[in-house]
Amino acid sequence: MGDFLLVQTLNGLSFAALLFLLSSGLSLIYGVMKIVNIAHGSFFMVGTYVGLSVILKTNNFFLGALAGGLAVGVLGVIMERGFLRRFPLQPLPQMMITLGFALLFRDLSLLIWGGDPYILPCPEYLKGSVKIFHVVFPVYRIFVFCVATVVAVALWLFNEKTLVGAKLRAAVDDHEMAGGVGLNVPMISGCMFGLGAFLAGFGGVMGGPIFGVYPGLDFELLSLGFVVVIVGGRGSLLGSAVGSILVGLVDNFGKALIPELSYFTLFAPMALVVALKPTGLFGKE
Amino acid sequence: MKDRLTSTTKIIGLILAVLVLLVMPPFYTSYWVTLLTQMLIFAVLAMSLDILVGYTGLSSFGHAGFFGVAGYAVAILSTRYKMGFLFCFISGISLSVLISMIFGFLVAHATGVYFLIITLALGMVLWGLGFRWVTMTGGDNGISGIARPDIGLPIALTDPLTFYYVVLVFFLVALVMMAILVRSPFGHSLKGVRESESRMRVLGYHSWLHKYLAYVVSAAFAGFAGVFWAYFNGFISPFDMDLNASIEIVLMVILGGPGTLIGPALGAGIIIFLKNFISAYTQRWLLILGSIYILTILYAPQGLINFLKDWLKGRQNKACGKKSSDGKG
Amino acid sequence: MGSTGERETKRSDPCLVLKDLSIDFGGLRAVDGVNLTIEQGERRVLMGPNGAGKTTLFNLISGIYPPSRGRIFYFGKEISRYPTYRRAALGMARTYQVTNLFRCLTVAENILMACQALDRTKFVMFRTLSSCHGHMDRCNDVLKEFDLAEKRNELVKNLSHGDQRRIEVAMALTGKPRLLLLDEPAAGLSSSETQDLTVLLKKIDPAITIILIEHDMDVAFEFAERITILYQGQFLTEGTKEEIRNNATVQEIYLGAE
Repeated sequence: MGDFLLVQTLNGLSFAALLFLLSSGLSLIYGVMKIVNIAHGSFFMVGTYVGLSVILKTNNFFLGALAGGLAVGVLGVIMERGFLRRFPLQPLPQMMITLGFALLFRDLSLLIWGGDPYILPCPEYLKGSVKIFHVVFPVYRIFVFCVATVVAVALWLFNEKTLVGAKLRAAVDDHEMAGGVGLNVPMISGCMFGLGAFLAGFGGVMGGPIFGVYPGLDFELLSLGFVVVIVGGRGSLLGSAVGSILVGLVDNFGKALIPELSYFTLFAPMALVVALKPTGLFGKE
Repeated sequence: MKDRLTSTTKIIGLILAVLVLLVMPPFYTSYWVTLLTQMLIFAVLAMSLDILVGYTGLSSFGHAGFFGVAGYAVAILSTRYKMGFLFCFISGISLSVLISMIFGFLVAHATGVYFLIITLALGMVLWGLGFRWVTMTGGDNGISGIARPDIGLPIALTDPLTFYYVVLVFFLVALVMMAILVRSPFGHSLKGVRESESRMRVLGYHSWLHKYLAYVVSAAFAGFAGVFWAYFNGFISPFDMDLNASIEIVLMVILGGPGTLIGPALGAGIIIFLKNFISAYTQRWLLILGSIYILTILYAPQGLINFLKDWLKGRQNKACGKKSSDGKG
Repeated sequence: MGSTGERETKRSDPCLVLKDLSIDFGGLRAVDGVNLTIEQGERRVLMGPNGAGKTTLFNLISGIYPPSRGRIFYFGKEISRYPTYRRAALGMARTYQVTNLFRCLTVAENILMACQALDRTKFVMFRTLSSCHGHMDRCNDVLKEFDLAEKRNELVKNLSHGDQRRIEVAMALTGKPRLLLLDEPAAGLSSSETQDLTVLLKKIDPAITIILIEHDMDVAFEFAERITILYQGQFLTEGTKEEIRNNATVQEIYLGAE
């Protein structure tokens, strides 16, 4: 029983790590730019595909992860600068455009990589398992969790402690004022979007060896990402972290205990949060 | 004189519709009859979403959930329990209504983008049930073998033309009901909520309640469409209610023109047509759909019908030689 | 006119009583311990320099903000925690300093929105609004009374500012309110439009209690029976036109501050 709990918790946490990489970007984009990025799950998926291709060519996992993140980051910047900026401060049309792009990405991925699912190859030195309190657990999953934690801390430091972070927070709180004080809000927005996209793509490659990539991953993860944002609160890094852990654990235990109703088990924490604190656990008004 | 061009266009449109939908079908091949039936079903679905999107101003990205849920009800009741049409019809719609009444408590206080996210997540919850509750729903294999019901007509509904006319009748019933709804006092209050919820509250409206009711009513009509989809397709699967499906309905509304009812119906027809037509020539249906979407938002963000209305207004002002007294619409 | 099962309004009940009403926004106390009593049918003007908290006080009275402290009594009934729409149902109506109409709807549609607001018919789904003769007639009456009949099918956003201000007042009076809160109705109007507005306001049913926020001294003094001055969120002084006109402190803060 204890073993079961431990395994499931560890599984849930490694899933939470990926969710964090996905949802932190989503929450950031939503919080900063008030845009609901329907293409965010697509970023995750496309990043994984790109990473896959790069890994297969170069046999270097980390190159793949970087490539996946960068490729998608560039796509994100193009999307934002080229299309989204045409509708400044109009979240609904912007959201619609990200929607159109999500469909484009979906089909292009199908075209380029085909419809078969792939599991990304795991780097040699991270293969294998390790023993934790009588339980055997894959090293890679622990690694993913560590990476996500590092990213989380880095993001937090960046946000709270640096000048750029402060500029960002200013842009979040008040677009007009920030612009009035001389901050280049459009550029900040563009970089924000690109960063969010990068995180998603990078996260995708990270998750590749565990969950693989297949058509349909984009919308499945998008929905989970939104549940995290709803539970954790938008625009909040801490919210993304806590939300990811909650959702990761609930989803995992749900799948393990009542597989038939597992998606439904996400409903409970979400409903609770929406009912009691509609802006999410750590969300701002 | 001012409205002559618009009313002429309307009359022409009406005559065309009567011809195409009522008079001509016996002369179509069964491919077109079947396509037209599908268009009518999705027209009802798109119009039901328009009540939320166009009239109340709430973008729902989980609407296909109510569509699918009703379809599954019909599928399960008719294949496993051999229930007849009336029972399945009422059950399907009731199930959609019941679920929307529960979900409504979570969504009705939300607005704008937040409403979108919650409805998206809720729609996926329903999809998840369809996908994972294998013992009940058959999982991703879905439920097949849904037979056309026997409703006592001399010709069986397996005949595409007969089934088409039955669907047409129900389509007209739904259309009339929704048309009255959006012109009713309740419909009027929805427009107010769309324009300014806070103003409505100061006037004395309990805006939450109106949004809740709009949500439930639109779910009811989505279920209405879902019932016929199950009978039409003979098969229901989670793909009928996933995020992709919800997104397609939104696109139908946006393409046609939110807040016009006829627009989304037309949008549904166009999308269904393109989907079937294009799929015959290329696999790249989603690519084309995505591009259409982006182009629509960039160049005709109010949708086709409103675009047409504005264009007509521009034309008649030129024709009358007077400057438009009421500026730009 | 009081609701069933609750304390009936006595003739002697003041229309509105504010007891020690305060609201805090973060660190800022926008309204601070205001006490106010307004009798039925009174014409009260609320004045004070910018930032005095007048509109905030209106927001408290109409229920847009819940008070941080204090109580509100309306015709003898405590309504401190009532939501906005409930206060509207009790006969409270209000206009805004910045025009707050349904801009993309027509004039008639705006008035109709007010017509059906306090009625159960606003939930009716299976009849068209145009078949509800009660509302259509009331709408026509209001349009005629406020000289808007010819413009009934115009979109509000295409009308002049003066017309829009008139529609605001019309909408507020459509539901036959008992208390009318007017927030700077003359804002942005030309002097002739302002005169028309003043004539309009004076014609309003004397049974309706009116609280008016106004910066324009002429309108204020023309209209007021009593004047209350707010300063920095607090009650400063109150009195008749003459008393206020001759009050040195008022002159100083008003003329000095403006």
